[in-house]
Amino acid sequence: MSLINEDEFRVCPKTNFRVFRKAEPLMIANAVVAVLALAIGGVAALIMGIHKMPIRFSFIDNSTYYQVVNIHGINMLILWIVWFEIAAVYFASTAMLNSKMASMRLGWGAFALMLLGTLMLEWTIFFDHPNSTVMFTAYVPLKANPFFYLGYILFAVGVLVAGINFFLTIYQAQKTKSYPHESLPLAVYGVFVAVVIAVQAIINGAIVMILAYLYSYDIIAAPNADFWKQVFWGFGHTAQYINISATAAVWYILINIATGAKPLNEKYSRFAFMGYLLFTVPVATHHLIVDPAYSMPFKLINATLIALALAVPSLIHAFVIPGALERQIREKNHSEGLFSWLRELPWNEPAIPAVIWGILLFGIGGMLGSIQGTYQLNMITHNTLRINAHFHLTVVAGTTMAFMGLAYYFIELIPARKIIGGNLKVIQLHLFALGLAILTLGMFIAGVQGAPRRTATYDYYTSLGVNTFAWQIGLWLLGIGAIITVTGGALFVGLIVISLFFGKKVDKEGSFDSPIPTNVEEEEAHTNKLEAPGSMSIGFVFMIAFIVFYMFTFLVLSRGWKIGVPI
Amino acid sequence: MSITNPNKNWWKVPLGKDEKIWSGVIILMILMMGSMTVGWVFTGDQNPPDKFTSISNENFLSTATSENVASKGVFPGKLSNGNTSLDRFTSGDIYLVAQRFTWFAPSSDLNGSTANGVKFKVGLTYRMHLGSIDVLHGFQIVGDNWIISLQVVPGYDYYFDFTPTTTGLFQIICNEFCGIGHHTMLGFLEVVA
Ligand code: HEM
Ligand SMILES: [Cu+2]
Ligand SMILES: [Cu+2]
Repeated sequence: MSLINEDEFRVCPKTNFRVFRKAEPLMIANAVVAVLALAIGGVAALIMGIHKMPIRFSFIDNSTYYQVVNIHGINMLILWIVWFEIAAVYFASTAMLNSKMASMRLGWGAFALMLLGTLMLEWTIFFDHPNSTVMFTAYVPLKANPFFYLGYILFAVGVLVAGINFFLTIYQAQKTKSYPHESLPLAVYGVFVAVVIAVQAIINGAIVMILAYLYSYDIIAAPNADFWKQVFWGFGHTAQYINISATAAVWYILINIATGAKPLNEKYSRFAFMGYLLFTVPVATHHLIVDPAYSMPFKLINATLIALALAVPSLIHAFVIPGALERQIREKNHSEGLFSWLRELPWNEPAIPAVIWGILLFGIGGMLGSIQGTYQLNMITHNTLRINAHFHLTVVAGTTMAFMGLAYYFIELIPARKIIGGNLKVIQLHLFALGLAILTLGMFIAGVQGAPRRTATYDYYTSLGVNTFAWQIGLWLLGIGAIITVTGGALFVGLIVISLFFGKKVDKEGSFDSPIPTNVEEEEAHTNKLEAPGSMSIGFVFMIAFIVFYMFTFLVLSRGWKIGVPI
Repeated sequence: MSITNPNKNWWKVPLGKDEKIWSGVIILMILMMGSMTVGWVFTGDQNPPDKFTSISNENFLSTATSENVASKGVFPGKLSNGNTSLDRFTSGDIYLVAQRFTWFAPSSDLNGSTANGVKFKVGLTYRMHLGSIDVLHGFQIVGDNWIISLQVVPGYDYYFDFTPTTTGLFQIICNEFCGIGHHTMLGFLEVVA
């Protein structure tokens, strides 16, 4: 590895990866913006949670509620997630491959574009209410301030530039053989898939945002609303497969750092990542199942049948990751019991609660998603609060918690500061997960009974047996869950920010004599026994619960009025 | 390892017993869901409507206003909560229009008042036409035990046949964010014996 210039790199003393020094400030800068967005979105979350509780105790009026939902959606789903992903993308393509960044100029250029876009978005959603309160979905013919769309466009172009830089960096790492072997490490492969999906997503996003931008200046008439909506979700839902690919990649990193666990079968996991790439395009249609624009076969095939295939990769990861942990612990400790390995996991590492809670809740979120994506069942779930239950389980419990877990290691590896507060970081993750469980249960209970999402108050629905005690249980749980989750989230922001600036500095400079980390080639031991019987049993319980739940939802549907003609 | 390169011949390692069993489980689950949803299309009584015509907002409003008239079996009436309604006691078409922030059934027979309710007879089959004349709205009927949620999109006449099987007064709400008065957007639907 004589190619490595020893001035430009340092050796990470913990992992022995060669870290490109110039890329470090860029990664940190991206991560810092991400955490700031999370903090803003978190304040918004608390305000919404309290406003939704069925008591007259709120900081805001109903109109402002919509502004807060807008601020929350954009800061969380768009800004926090994507900024952090860009930091992770750089981390994976430089540090994990011992590589230089292809171009620092592109890196900082992307940062500048994304930041400019971010500021435009923040400026319009904070100071141009209600004009720019159109939610992150911005469905035309709603019309926001042109700078809102311009912000979106600049942000997307910035992400695209970052993605190009990522591909160039991978290419360069391959060419200079900065890491040993030809296949990318599994986690980098997962990130690679995520960035490829991102390119598709950004193209769709650019089309609709440019159309909306022109429309906001009245240069063109309002685009067809359902066409716009379909292409928007070609960005919006495709982006969720960026998130899950990145999340799974982070899960593999975390279990590896915490226990050394390898995937059960490399091929199986790689196939799963590939699956996200193959099936993402048609799923955008599942946002239009109850829209007029398409006929039954189109909606049924794209929105439901192909989308079912997308459950496959997630189901694979959700089994393989706990399975890998289980096999690792069994080998190390010779644990025999079906579930004793769970107890023996290193629970003092933030990786473990982030992964175990993440996968458990993500699994439930996936079940809810499969239900509401089902052609007929969409009709009793669309736009209710149970949709929010679904995606807070996936993109918050799954993605956000995985990123939180990774952030704790990131701070100790890149800026090389010790996380303050000892075990507080682990408690933080437990608290966040507990809060989310309550929050999403509340959303589900209210949503099942018909409480619509993005609705400031249900006080006007006085006509019938709605908005009764049974709704209120859900709304109370939602509020209480929100308070707990935001407490957990605030603790995360506090720990990260304080550690970054005031944490104890840890040793940064390892020795170039220590070899670049590489895989220890092991013979696969072939046994006829199950390697992960515990995870398998939990998986079975999950599946049976799912089937019951699925059938039950159809039963509820069948009690409704006759609608739509059977053919 | 996941963070370094994989074993040399990773693609040659066959799937283990765990992976095979799990794949079987996944396939079964997909088949179960797939057959359930396809089967319901052919045999179930509740399926998302998929009939529509493209129509401009002005034309939708004028069609709705002229179609909802007494000669076609629709006449102005009152709901049990006192709101003005259009009553339709024979099978047939009825038009409902969404506009920020109301649901209304326009008709040239209303003598200037607005009907934000419609009244039906239980067991008859109706053809409901939904349309918006500004932004996206969400048509949702909230009941105690079940709901219906359909998207109302400007530029389309979205129509479907339905048969109310229970009586009572139902609230129509808007479940798609349509502006800061969104939570006040109400309509009514009454089914009588
Ligand atoms: C910190 C704890 C959180 C709480 C208490 C919380 C709470 C809520 C609530 C109550 C809503 C419903 C708004 C409504 O439809 O009326 C909501 C919407 C939403 N949340 Fe969260 N949330 C949290 C974290 C997150 C995170 C981390 C993300 C993203 C990664 C996220 C993404 C979203 C999105 C995309 C929406 C939909 C916004 C819209 O409808 O435009 N949330 N959240
Ligand atoms: Cu509306
Ligand atoms: Cu609305």
